Amino acid sequence: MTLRILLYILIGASLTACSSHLEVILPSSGKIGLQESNVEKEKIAQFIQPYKDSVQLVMSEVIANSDLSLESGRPNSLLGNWTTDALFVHETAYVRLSEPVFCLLTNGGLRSSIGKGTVSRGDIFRLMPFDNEVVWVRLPMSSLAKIESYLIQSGGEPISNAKMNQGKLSINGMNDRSTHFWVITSDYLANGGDQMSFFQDAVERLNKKVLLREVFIQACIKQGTLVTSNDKRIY
Amino acid sequence: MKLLKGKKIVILHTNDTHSQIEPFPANHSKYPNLGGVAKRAKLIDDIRQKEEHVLLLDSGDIFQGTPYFNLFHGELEMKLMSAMNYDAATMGNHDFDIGLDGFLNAQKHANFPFLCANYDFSDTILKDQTKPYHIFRKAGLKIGVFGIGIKLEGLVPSDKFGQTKYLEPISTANQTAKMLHEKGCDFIICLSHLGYSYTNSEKPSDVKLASENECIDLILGGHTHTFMDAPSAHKNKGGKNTVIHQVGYGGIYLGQIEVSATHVSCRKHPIE
Repeated sequence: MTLRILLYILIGASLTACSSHLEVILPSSGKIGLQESNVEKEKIAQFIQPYKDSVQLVMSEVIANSDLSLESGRPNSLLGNWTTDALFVHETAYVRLSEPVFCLLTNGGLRSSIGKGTVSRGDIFRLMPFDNEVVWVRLPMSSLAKIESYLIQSGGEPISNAKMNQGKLSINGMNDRSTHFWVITSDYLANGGDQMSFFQDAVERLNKKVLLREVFIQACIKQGTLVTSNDKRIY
Repeated sequence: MKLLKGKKIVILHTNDTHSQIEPFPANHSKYPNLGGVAKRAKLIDDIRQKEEHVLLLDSGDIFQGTPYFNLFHGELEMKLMSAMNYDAATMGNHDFDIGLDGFLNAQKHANFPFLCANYDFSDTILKDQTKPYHIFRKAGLKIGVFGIGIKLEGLVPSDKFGQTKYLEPISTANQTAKMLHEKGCDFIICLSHLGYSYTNSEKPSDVKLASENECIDLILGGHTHTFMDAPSAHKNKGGKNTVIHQVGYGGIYLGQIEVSATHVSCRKHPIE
């Protein structure tokens, strides 16, 4: 009896082993690099060409000039100040603010610098390739400390209409009677992107349905020559 | 018909191509002049010339990253993948970036199926536009391919994915793979956009799926833009190997995995 059971087990085991009849050949490398020297498929290159032409036409349009090279950086940067100022002006120019408001973006979200000289539409697309939209988030005062510790830990992110002195964030218009404040940011960050978990405390949220990139493009066109600020906002 | 010993199936794959139609620009800090769709198309053609049994697959995030996407909303990406004869793809989180209607408009230009087993689109305009899996017949064998996507909440604005229901990825993957196995598939591939692995080991990832499944042979991953030196093999619950591969992003590499027959004589599911 015992022998019989053992035999069944053995047969079962051998069948299982046999069932794996197809196997991946594990190579030392499973990928082929596409180098500069690789040849293009002519038909595909020709198909792409008209799309490429229209992309180049749109992207090469000069929309502003810059006297300086704007780079991102921590704790403060010309690029961080310019982008958050452009956002703040765009969003608040025609609004009466009843509560403190400031802008917050991230260095990580600014994907490219703006070089000295002409600024093209393509430069702004490289700066902000993602279709992130502008969002206003209303937070209770208790969230301020979380933002402060985030900024301390990261070493500083772009802000506008606020300063942080020795780890204490003060938003213009903020006083003892303030119970809430607003943060103007991107939907990506407001959704908790880049570990911004403090946005979970939101008591209200306005989705502005405006692309952040479009805000920057409009700022370029309006300013003509980029209006830059080398304010030390985090110190 | 049987796959004769020594014959092989070549699986070519990409992930996170992110609208990188042209090669990366010459002044790119990391990848100057690398990639490019016209070059990928030539390489694929060359491989198809040499190899009889080829599958070409993509693991998602086809959209977003260059102005081609902003101007043409995914149409060009779909047309080019169709021209290269992709066999199937799954959806990445960025493929929701222009909403379900935006994806649907772009998908009209695709001649290959999108495989999504754990996004339930039945209450959305994508109802019946994707499939959970597809069974390919190559060299007389049944190759089951299915797609597993990442959780959208917190990653994609909710108005972009609407009433899409997210199904738990590991259990859905296991159910789908088991079903493909029961349908007699000889080889099972998961196109995953979960990401390779995370410091939080609880978070669903390809490594977690590899060790917690029973019958997936190959996971072709994406999302984390992982440039793997080589495919990695993981012991699964069935006591066999599940192999994971992912090739970075931007179409800098074309992945190539070869599958060959070993013990043909005693296989479990004979195919007439």
